[in-house]
Amino acid sequence: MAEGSDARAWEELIPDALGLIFRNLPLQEILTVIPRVCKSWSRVVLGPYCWQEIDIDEWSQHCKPEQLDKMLHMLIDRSCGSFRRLSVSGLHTESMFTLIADHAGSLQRLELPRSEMNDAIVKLVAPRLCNLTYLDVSYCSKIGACAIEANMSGQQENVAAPKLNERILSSLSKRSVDVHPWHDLETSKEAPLCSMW
Amino acid sequence: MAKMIKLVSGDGAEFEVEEEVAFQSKIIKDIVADADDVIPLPTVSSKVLIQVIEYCRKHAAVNSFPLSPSSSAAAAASSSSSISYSKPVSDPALRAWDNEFVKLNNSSLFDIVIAANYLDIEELVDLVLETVADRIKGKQAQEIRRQFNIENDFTPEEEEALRRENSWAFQNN
Repeated sequence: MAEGSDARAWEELIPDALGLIFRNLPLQEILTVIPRVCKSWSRVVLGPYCWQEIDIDEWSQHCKPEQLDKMLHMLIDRSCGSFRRLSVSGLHTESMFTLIADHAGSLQRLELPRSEMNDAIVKLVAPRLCNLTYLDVSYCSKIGACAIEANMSGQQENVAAPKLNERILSSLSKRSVDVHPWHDLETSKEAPLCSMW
Repeated sequence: MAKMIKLVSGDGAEFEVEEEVAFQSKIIKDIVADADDVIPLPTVSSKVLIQVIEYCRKHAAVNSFPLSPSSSAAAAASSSSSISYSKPVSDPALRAWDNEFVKLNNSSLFDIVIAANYLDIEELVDLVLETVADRIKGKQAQEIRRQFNIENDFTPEEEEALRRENSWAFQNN
């Protein structure tokens, strides 16, 4: 092994290793600094390895609605549908939710605090979130008990929504209480009647 | 008497290590399962192998004898979740040791991460990549290039276009 030279080919580090390095960086740096370092780093930021986890929660609290739409499209696109976690706040159109649902094949962890998600959207979207094990809908004031209970009563055609709840509820037992977000819903007057919520 | 495994670096140096230390590497664990106790590692230099063994020795000791029930419970909980999040090391003393361990120059970190990836020592790979990310954070592109000896292969026009490309997302700041 040649050890004489002090230089190492950082630009040639395998893309998934670079993706792991970059994903620890703030969003602004990943999108505006890293691509300018060199061409291979630019390619990594365009590709899926950087976007296995899409965390734009903080950014989305300060952006305009059309920016949120553009960013969501761009990053979901770059992930090639392989993102396993998505954290974003302030979603407010049905098209944004269906965009997520349309590409949720690998999605395990979905954090949508402060979104405009309502019961109708929940019923629409839930069947397609097949691999979800964690859902954060804190401060989503438009979701009520009926979205969950109506599905559980078996009166609706889609039965995937109750399965989603079962997966969420069963995954709760594996997690320590202080990390799950349902504490927020428990104190709200819109809190669903289900005791686990 | 602990079972010993012999690791041979690319430049021919031999290192005898306890089995539990060597088994921090999943690759070595698999090879030894096939009843091979002498493991040649032609792509890893002795300098890097010494550092990797040091890391494995420390982590094998902690994994065998967790300092507190909560650290082993946390480790068990994190291993049962479907996504592994960064910072699996919950023991603060071990974390402090790790932070000292990675106070190396970038070339050494590069060599270690390549070796750790080859040997499939996941925690060491994560540790180094996290450390590198911390060294990149907050720096401009030119600084990053200088620090990591990366050549700028963009034309000035290309670089300017890239500078503008995603600026739309951050104009509110």
